[in-house]
Amino acid sequence: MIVWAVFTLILSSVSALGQSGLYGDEFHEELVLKQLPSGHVYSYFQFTTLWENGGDQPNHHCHLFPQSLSEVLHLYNVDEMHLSLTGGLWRHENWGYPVVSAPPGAELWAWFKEGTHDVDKKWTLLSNALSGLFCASLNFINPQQSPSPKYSFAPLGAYGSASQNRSLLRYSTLPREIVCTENLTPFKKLLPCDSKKGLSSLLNAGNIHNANYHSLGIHVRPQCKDENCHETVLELKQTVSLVYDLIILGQESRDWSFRKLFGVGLAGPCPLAKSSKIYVDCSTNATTFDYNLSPDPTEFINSNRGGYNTVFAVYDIKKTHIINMFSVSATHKGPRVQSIISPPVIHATRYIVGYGQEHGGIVTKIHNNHWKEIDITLFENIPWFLPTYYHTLKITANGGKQVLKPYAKHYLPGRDRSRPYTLEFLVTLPPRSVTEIYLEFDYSFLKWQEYPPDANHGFYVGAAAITTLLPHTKNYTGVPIDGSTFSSSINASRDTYPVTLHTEILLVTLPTPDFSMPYNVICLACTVVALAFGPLHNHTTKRLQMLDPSEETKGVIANLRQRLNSFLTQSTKAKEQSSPAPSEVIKSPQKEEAACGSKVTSRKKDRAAKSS
Amino acid sequence: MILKREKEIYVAVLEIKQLLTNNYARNASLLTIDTSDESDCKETSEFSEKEEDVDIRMYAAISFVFLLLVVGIPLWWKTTEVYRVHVPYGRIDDLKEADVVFPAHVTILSKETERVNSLLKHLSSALSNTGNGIINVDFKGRSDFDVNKVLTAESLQALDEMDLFPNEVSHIYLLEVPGMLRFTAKDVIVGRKRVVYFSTQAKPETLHAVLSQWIIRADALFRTKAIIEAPNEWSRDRTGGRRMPPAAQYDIMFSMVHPEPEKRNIKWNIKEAIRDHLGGLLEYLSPIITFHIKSQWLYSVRLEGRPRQVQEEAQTWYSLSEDILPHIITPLEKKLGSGVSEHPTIQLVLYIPPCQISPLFITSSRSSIQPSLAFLSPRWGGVQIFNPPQSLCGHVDENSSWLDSEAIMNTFKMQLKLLVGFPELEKIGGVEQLPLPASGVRDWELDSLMRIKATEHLISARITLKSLAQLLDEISNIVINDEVGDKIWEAILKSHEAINYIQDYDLTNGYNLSKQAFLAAETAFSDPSLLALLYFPEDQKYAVYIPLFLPVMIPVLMSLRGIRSWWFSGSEDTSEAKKKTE
Repeated sequence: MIVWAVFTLILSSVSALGQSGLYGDEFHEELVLKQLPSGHVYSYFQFTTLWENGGDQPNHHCHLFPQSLSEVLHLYNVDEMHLSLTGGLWRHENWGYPVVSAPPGAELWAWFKEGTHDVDKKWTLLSNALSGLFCASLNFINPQQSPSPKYSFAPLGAYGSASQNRSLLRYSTLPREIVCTENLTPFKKLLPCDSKKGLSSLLNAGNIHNANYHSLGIHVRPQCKDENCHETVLELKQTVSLVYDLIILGQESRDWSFRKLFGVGLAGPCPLAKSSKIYVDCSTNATTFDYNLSPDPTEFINSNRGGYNTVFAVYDIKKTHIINMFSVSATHKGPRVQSIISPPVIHATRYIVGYGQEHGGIVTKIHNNHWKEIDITLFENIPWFLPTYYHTLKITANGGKQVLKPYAKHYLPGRDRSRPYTLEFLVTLPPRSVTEIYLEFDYSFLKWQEYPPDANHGFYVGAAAITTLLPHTKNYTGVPIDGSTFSSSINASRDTYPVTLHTEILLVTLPTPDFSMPYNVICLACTVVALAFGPLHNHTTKRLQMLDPSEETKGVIANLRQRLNSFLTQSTKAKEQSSPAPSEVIKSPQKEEAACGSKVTSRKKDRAAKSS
Repeated sequence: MILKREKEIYVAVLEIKQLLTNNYARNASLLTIDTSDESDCKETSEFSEKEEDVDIRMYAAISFVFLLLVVGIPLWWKTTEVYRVHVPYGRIDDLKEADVVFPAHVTILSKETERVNSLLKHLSSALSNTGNGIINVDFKGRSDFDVNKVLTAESLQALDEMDLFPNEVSHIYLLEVPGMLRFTAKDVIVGRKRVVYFSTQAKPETLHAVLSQWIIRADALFRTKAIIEAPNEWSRDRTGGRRMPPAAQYDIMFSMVHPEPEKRNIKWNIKEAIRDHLGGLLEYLSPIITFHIKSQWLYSVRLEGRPRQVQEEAQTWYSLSEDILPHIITPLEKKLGSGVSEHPTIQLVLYIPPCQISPLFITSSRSSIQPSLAFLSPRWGGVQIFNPPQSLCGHVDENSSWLDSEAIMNTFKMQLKLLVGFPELEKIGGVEQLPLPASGVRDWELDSLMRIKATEHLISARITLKSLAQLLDEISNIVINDEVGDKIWEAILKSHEAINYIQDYDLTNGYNLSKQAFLAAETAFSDPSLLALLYFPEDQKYAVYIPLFLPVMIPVLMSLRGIRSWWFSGSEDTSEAKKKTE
């Protein structure tokens, strides 16, 4: 016990391991906890690694940056990469904006370096390598379903000029992917402290994937080292976003703690981390909710951002004496209050309209709750098997009263099996309105081998992405583009705040064929051929003639049949009846035989001899 | 009423039927073809009608048979066969005869011609039948050389540097140094390049041992060949067992495993250490082997196994027993990571033990082995333990925690040499080597390695091609497309070229070509397009087409019998008719 206390004292007196001078990298870990007005708890982990010499040349000597990821990025000439694996849908209207937004399923988009040859091939190799690295089926991404958006997904890295060569960008989404322990384990392996020390020890697969919304994200981009931006630093952000529904976790109480959310407490910070902090968003503490935080936070920070004030309770783990296990808990007092949730400035939803399996329509509804107009960019990526009709595109606001005209649009029609349909436009949403974007499509009939194993489940259409610049930071928690860690979002007032929203994914039931048809066809074709060919052959090569019964040569079957008949009837009547006829017949030719002479008889005998 | 009418009709039909049977009853059975009689009987006209009819029918049957059997079946066979480019089976078999024999020259130099001749006789007879014909040593003797430089040299190392003789691949010079006693007491000293210095008292047996066990190593060559050809009968020797399997390039991954960074602050500039200490070796090997160097730090990984505490009077130390060393590697390998590259990786791991079990040594139950700090896993890599000073535990001091690069890198260098395939030289009495050069490899060692690796490449390529040919014979639904066919041809041609170069004394080019031949054969054999039709074996093809062909073929084949009898009876009858007309 004393030894343990001594060790912890030593631990606490340890200052940051300043190795960034030698290897040029540093590591930060942060956890943000927020009680959402709907009663859910939003936890956001961010592990940031900054590597000084990482981006410039192939540097194979890694220290805190994971070696396997660095190899992949250098081998395939990747400048910037964003991968997210998500289970669940983020409810913007109830929960506000997340720090990092992700659509359900898997999403991967990457910018390749200037001068890269054969971007498609590198894109395929990159998705295959990442699929192996994270045990996710990203190998289903192929260049035929990866568009290059023209206005959305601008590079977030250090060069950031919007006139980048858009052919170096590839975007792809796999809505059907699920995220589970298999993905979490290699994700944790990339961290310097693995899952043994620091905030990553809170990531237990059993608790994490039990949440309403769970999302893993890996974001790599080059970042400016300082204000002048002469040098760049390679930034790796590994994020885990979770939204817990406290009722599901049990005990029917609104109190939450580390043990309830993650199953364990925190043993200590990661020794390699330069900073290890927990932020609890207490803005709603006095107003909507009323809870006590324990233990007491290290400090309280007021963040004034864009006119909105947020109060953060900060726990600095590196400066905390941890005796047993560290766990933050919130106990509610007072009655349960259900508050009115005011939705954020922009939120969107998307659904399919139409009936039958011939035509349909996609409707995207965007709500603008601001008193001023807001410009948005909408990006829709529709697979090739749902051919869309651009002339049916209708953008209306306020229930059809106002027709909006986009001031920039980009429509790339798809080609069967080689290119998806891409629709992008910039439009100004009128204040306090609901804008509907309606587009018609056909259901197409695919080739037999293109259906997945469970064809009647349907086909997924990826989420639409809405990019916009918000005028204020209500419900907004994003990290500014020039900052790396979450702490850089404190007091970070800017002119506008960029945000990306993702809508729901769609499930479309395409008309499915009868999969037993090939067998049916084979049977039918063979039967028809047999039935048609047999008589045809018989007709052309044989001729039906009446048999002389006396000269009839009885085959085996005829013999058997006669025996059977005689056995069954057991009467001689049939024999007597049948015999006169042949005898009559025989008589007449014999008369004429005599007329023809012996030749005929000899011929007959010959024939009889031959046929016997 | 209706019934009656029907009955009338029925009766009428019966009467007609009687009439017809009366008419035709005279005629014989159905299929007898009778073209014979054109006699003046009334029946002949009816017969002649039928004869023409028979001809037409038979011609129709013959045309069906022709169309189906002669045109249809070959067309179907051709269109459903598996695409195969022509594979030169003959030339693959020929490769077996083209066995490579490595030539080597040994020149014996001494001022006394008698000594030269006696050594020549002894060595050539002793080494004449080594290695079962894999290596062919050619002996020469010379007495006319400038011996002044030899006599006036200050040391053997200086003599070595002088480069008295041309340093060509596979050429060994045995130089007698008069008065070698002033340099060393040993009889034979092996130089760094391709010269062996021996004294006047050196025995021929010693020279023979040096040549056969260290320099020429015919046994190792023979074993390398035998293991690939007959793996069940032969087993690897120590050196062969350590050598990494052949590949195009190798990756070397340096991993620093440091499980307790909060207690000890360790710093090491790996990039510089590799450049300073390993750079020479890697550069020396670069014409024949290409390496990629990578490094990483693993901070939260521990080695498995509980070391025992050993209490000695001055200090306590911990010992890791030799028996649990194999169990350390498997859990460690999970954490080392596998990269995206396709080349085999040589893993070199440096472990810094946690403070509680520090200092850590590896002990063996065999008394001949002292507690050591490193161990090697054949064909995988090596692990080394570094014990920093105990005083550092618990203090995180910025300054005093740099690692000793030289000792660590020397151990890694030795491990790397063993993994690449350089052997540990056994002790021979009275023989010593000059200290290693900066690159760490002696020229004659490189020759020997090139010979062994070239043999491995050529024999492997041959066996791979033969296996592919055998597979093609046995499994009928393997696809050989153009690229695979090209690769097979490339492997065969490059093998022959390599053997030619080797026999012309150009070992370096021969080695490079042998590597290309090996890689081409491997690429051809493991091409994924070979199995494109794996799930469509021949019997499935038949199963799909039989319901179509069977009902068609049965009448056609049955009609063959009729055609045969018509054909031959037709010829008999015409011959009868001819006889009758004559």
